Amino acid sequence: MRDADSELVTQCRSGNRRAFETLVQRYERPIFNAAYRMVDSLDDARDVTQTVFLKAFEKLDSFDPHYRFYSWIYRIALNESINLLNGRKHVTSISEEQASDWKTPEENLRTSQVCDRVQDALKSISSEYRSVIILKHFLGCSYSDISQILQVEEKTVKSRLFTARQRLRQALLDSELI
Amino acid sequence: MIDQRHLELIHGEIDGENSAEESRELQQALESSAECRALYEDLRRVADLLQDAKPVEPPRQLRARIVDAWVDAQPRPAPGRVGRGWLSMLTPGYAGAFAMGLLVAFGAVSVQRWAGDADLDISQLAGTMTQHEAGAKALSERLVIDLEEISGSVVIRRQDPLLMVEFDLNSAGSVDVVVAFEGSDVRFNGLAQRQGEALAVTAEGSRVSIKNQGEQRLALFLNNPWNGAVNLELGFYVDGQLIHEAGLNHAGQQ
Repeated sequence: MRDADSELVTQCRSGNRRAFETLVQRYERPIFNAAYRMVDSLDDARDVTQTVFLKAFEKLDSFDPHYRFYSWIYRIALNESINLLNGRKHVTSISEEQASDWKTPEENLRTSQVCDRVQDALKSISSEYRSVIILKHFLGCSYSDISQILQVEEKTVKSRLFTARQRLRQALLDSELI
Repeated sequence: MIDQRHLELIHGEIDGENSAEESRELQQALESSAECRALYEDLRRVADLLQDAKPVEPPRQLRARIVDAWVDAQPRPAPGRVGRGWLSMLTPGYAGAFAMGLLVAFGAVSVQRWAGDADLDISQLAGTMTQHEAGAKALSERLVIDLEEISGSVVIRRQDPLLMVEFDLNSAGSVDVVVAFEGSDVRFNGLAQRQGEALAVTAEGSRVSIKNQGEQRLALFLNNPWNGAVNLELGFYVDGQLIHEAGLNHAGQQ
């Protein structure tokens, strides 16, 4: 399926709306999920997803068709998510500890579910490690894909993934999920 | 203490990156080392938990929002390149069919859809064409239809001096789409088909009925002389039975 991306990208460059819609349909869900796992907010994930597509297609001329389109758009998605997280640091006026006390009853109910405890564990590791976990486990990327997306060597991917998984394991042990 | 080689094998196995030989080597290590086995089981459980985490569904309107924003950002045809009155300002893909739609609309209330608009030489009707779909500004939310019988979207766009109700629909069987419009002096002005098989259209007063089958992209044009608010009520019928209804509106000039 992904092999057909380059043809759609070419059509998008000619302003073909149907081609653009097809690409959005194909990548909306993985990008939204990746963004949500990164930024831990459905509203922010929605905004990140929209920005990713618009930025990607604004910069289509800089896309090298020899590369895989999904590597390129996933990279934009991670960068946008990290930008948003960095922006948050500057506007946060209460500490993380205080913020955790501000959960709504709805959020508390959510947290009781396993999925959300996994999400909490993900949140507890740095964005650098979270990125590789998301690429591997939520987007199904290979070491080679991740290497291309993050623009680091494969051995760095492995080392980062190993550390990320160990930290996640510790967080899940702490929350008694494993 | 687990050595680096065994660590790599454990992670490689979980990531599905080990060769058959590496998997065998790991198997031997797991059988001989309780420490390796414990770590492997923990990490396998981590991977399983991640695998089990349900994907979150994007909001229903997100795709439409993205597409609308992209359409709005598309370059418009240069004004100096077209010059045959307002017909030349139509979205190029609709222009030829629109001309036929006009004739149809003025000529009769009940019509059969024209066939073979692909044979029309659009360039003769609308001057120089570009490959871009014109960035006709969206005036309403995009209505998303996601039913078993029919799916797609409907949006109202500005196509000066008219309003264009753009349908992008796909149905396996025959679905009648009935559009009732309401607004001060708003009149039906024509219908254009961009993609799809020939279809039957019936227009009567402030009500247009379109028989949809397969993938259709078409535009219904409305005259809105005062640029006022326009409300649309859409009904979707299969074998005369209403299966879905929805509303769409344009607030008019602010």
